[in-house]
Amino acid sequence: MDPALLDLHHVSRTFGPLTALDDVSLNVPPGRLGLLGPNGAGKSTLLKLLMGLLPPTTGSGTVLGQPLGCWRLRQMVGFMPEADALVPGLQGVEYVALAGELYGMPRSQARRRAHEVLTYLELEDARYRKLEEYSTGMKQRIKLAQSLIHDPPALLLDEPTSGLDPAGRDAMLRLLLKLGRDHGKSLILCTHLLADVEQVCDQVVILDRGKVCRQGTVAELCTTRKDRYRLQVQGDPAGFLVGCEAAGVDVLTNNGRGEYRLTAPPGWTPQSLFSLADRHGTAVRSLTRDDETLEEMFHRVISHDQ
Amino acid sequence: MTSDAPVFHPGHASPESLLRYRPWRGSLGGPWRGALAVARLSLAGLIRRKLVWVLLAFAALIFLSFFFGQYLLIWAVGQINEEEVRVAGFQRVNPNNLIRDLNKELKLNGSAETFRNLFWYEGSILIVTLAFVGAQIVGNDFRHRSLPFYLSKPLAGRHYIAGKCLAVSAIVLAVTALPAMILFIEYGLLDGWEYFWRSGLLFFGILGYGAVLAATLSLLLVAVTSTVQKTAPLVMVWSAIFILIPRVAQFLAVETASPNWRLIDLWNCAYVVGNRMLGITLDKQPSAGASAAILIATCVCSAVILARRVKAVEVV
Amino acid sequence: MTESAAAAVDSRLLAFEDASKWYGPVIGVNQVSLALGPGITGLVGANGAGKSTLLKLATGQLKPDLGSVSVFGVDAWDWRAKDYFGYCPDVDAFYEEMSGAAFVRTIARLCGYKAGEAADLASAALERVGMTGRAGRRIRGYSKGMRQRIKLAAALIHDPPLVVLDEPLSGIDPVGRREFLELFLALAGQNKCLLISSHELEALEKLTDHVAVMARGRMVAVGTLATIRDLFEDMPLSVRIDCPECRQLAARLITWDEVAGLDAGSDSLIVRARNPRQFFRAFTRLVCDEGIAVSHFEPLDDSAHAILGYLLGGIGKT
Repeated sequence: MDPALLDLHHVSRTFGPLTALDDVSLNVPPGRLGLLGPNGAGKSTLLKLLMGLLPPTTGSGTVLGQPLGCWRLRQMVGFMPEADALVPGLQGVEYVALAGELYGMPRSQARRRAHEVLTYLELEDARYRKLEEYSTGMKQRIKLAQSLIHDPPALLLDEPTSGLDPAGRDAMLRLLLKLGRDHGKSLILCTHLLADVEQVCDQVVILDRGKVCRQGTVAELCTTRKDRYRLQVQGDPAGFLVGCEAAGVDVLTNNGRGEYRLTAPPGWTPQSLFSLADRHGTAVRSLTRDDETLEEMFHRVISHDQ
Repeated sequence: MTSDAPVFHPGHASPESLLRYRPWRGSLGGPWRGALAVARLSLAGLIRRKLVWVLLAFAALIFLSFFFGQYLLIWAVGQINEEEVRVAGFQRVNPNNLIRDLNKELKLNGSAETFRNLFWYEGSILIVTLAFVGAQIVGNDFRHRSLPFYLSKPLAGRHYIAGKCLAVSAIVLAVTALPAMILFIEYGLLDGWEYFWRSGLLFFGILGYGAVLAATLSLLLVAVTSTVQKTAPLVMVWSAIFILIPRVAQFLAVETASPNWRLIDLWNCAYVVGNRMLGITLDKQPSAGASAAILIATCVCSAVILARRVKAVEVV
Repeated sequence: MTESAAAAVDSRLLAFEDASKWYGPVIGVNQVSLALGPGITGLVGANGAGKSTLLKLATGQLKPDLGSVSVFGVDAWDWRAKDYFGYCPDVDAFYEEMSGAAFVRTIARLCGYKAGEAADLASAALERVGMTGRAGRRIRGYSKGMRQRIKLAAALIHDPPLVVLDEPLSGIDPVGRREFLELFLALAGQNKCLLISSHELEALEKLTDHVAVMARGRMVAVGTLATIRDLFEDMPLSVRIDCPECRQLAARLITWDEVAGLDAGSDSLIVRARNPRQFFRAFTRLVCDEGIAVSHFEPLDDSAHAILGYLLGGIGKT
């Protein structure tokens, strides 16, 4: 049985009068974890604890079997910082090899594997360029490379997609998902972009004001809403809307472009909506369940607690 | 043990399979291995700079003048029965005069003074070198916010500082203690084996003086550059410490006839302590004990400043 | 000014006419023409596509090498144009030692307001961006989101009719993001023109329908997402259909002219429809006639994300 990714028991951390983390208990199995919370929720403090940079004031816990407050945590967990944190003057491959050595790899192994990791992250052509010449997307990938160099069991990613354009962001998320799903890395993804978490993570922890306010899988936390649908029709929307009203379908939002969120009367199936559209001379372009998204859930949980 | 990835046959390997993530299994060392890597990286960064080579060439020049001066002295002693000898092919000098000059002025006689003088001359080059390379070694990390990169690794602040100090110490020792050691061995080989027995303690004196310089200068430099990060201001601060303050100290010491004013001059403190280690007692100078206390205090202050600077770095 | 002339200016708060800008041999913006009226326009494109250069041209920080840029009919490079716009840059440029409030007040003073007026305007702007109560601290200790708020307050201080925002949402937390989106919508509601560059298509989609897409220095497409989508109306569209016994459905669909191909799984199939409009009509009819229990029906490359993927390349959901 693998040790849990996170196993915290009543962990608190105070800075003088300020309580950054308040009695946090978590048990998270290895996997892809999204760590969410508004600013000031204690996320950075939790990250510092998980990296062994700070000891907890009270409480105890382990990360992948290593106790909190131990430098070995930083060896088990590859950290991809949000800030650039590059060493100017170095070539890409030197930088990654240096990271390997700092993680404690023998020098020769670090230099060999640096090439391998850069190839995997599609930075092969930029290997011998100076870090200063790297574009935003390349910087993000080399930051990931330096956290992967020693093949750690877990990666801690702080805003891995910040500054990336949509294509770069997709590529980064695909890479992370592949590392997590296909190569068995545990990921702790710390981000403000809830869509990133939705794409990559299977579990979510939401922090608010130093406390864990929700923990679980995305599916568990988001409420499924029976009879709620997102519907897009093509053709004359006016007639369709009239039809909705007549049939007792409650249109919640309407963006004027034929896209609706609606509540169907009890007992309706998606098929009934198809017939409704058909009866009013429109065709269905898209019909999906309108379950709560991660973002809606996040705002519900945060505002509810305040 | 390197990798447990399957073996690929080049003929069958598709690009995708080569781009596959490969695990790595091996044992990882502790944080001190990281400190060594930090030191090596700093030195490698220095070696890439031309200015450093120019300054090292100056240091080598001084060393060589000592090296061949010593050789000249031994050789002149062997020529003592001659009326005149040709030096450098053309100049005719009396060997007795030559011996006197080399002995009295430069003291190239394998005594403690020889090494003390070498340290003094090399030291001046060293100070200039450090002023120009300090920003490169440490300042850049603070200025470009590279510290989170280091500190998110197993090494803690103290390992990072140790690595950086090690790099500076290596330069200090390479320019001072190393040439002195070579000179010591050279003199012994030229003069005869009994020199080693007679002056064996000098060897430890050289090591001690080198260690004092290395410890003080490395901590001081790393501490100063952690606050003053660019080359130009660093050169100003450095020249204040090693040019301005010594002048002031000299002036005050002479005016008040109290050598204790010289304690504010760090370079002089190191000189006094170094002399003591080489077995030379100086007059019109503060005591070695007081000088050592000043140096230790400097080191402690530097270490405290450094610890605070590094601790203030937000990794996350 | 006659009424029609006023209306003409109104629809052209910001106008680029064949503007080009290069830096030495590097071209930043290549012959861009764009006219914006009130409302929110999203500016999207890959890194290095020239978005920031475009925004700098709009705010008169750069002078186009060719063509012209005008704000309210005034050349953007002219100092008089500065009254008309507020600019929120993507990079941080603060006096880090100042408090946020002092910084915004200084900006107000620089805009030419008297001290008392500046203080009032600054506190109003800080209130607007939700920084009241937190603006007394030094900027040095601010989080990324707080910095964004201060920048935005500085941009809004003189209540300009044109607001140019470069990546205003980067680094801001979900709560702040929602507040920002609400603020942007409120500004647009006051008939202001907002030009917002952002990588976050999900957020932009919530704000506006009107986007300008840049690639390699050129304006690739301008208009509502629907019009841009129509450019691709003839391209095969992948549609995911979830229903029980979907292999039988697949067998039927493959005989249709509109279906170019399909991948069938056990309870889900992906159809590539050649003529989407006709396909949707026919499929709706089929569901009604045959009573197929479709539980999920979704075009996969129909979102803003996917449409921009066609324009910019390299985008696709995992």
